[in-house]
Amino acid sequence: MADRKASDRKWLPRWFYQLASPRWCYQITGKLLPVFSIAALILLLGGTVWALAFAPADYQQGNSFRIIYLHVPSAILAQSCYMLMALAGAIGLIWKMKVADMVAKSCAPVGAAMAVLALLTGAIWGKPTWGSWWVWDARLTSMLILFFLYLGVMALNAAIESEVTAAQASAVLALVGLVNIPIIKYSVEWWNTLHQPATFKLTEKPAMPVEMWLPLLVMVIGFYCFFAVALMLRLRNEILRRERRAGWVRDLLLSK
Amino acid sequence: MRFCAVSAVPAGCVICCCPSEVDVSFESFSEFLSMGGHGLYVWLSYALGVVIILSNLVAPLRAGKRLQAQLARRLKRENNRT
Repeated sequence: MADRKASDRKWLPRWFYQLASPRWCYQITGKLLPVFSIAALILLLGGTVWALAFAPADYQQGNSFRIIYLHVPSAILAQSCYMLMALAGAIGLIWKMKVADMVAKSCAPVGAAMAVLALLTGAIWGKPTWGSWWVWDARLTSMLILFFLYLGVMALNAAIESEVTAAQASAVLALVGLVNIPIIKYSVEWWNTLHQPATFKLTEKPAMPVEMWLPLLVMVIGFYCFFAVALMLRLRNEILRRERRAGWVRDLLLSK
Repeated sequence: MRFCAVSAVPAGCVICCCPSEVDVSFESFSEFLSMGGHGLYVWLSYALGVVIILSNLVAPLRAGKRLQAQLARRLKRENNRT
């Protein structure tokens, strides 16, 4: 028996296997939701007031610069969300994990909304800064493609009746589309572009003064917390819908 | 313009005597609204931000309520039948 136990030992941490249980996932997200909701509320409200009233105006762009506090966090999130969607899709493909499929499916609408926000705020910012709402520039175009990839994943999920097939098809699309992420990132370096380079880099100090980038950092973290909330809300609906025949869901519904 | 960071009262307030005054980037409220001529762009962006963020919370919350009500109804029907 002892030998068998040693050979059966899993090489992934325990929570990875617990995540595979829809019931456990439903319970843990129920506990995490209020935490992230409060964090998102405080960070986003505080960050917005800071960004609009207290951050200094840019010496070249004036106050239109304040759009950065929405534009950069939503653009970062649109890409992070895509990577999560592709990762969850890959886990679903490899380990046939139902919860991973549900995460991937729940990511798509939130990521699409963030891509829309990044594109719209970018267009609004572009008008006073570049003199045009839209230019067919590498960064803008690759971001638009990201939005279409999200729409593609949502369309596949909606069009295919079988949940397993829909998850497989959308995971493959998400993984193929992953090539777009480095293209977005390096588009400002590979091609001549109007778009300015990244504000935050892991290896360097930001080029802006601290009064400008600190509220931006608050907004980025706030957007991540909001994303966690929006994703968990959708994920919990998805779990209930797909597990509706499970005993624990019946008990949960009847106890209300 | 300087403000007290605690009470949000303009500089020199008597409510709190702490030295924590911060600078607001605008001299008046109308200047804050006009954003140096870029008011339309800035406020339009932030309005869009609010709409998109709130709709991403309201939509799944309403869908969840609808789904739970629907599943509960179905469950009761099945229980009545047996």
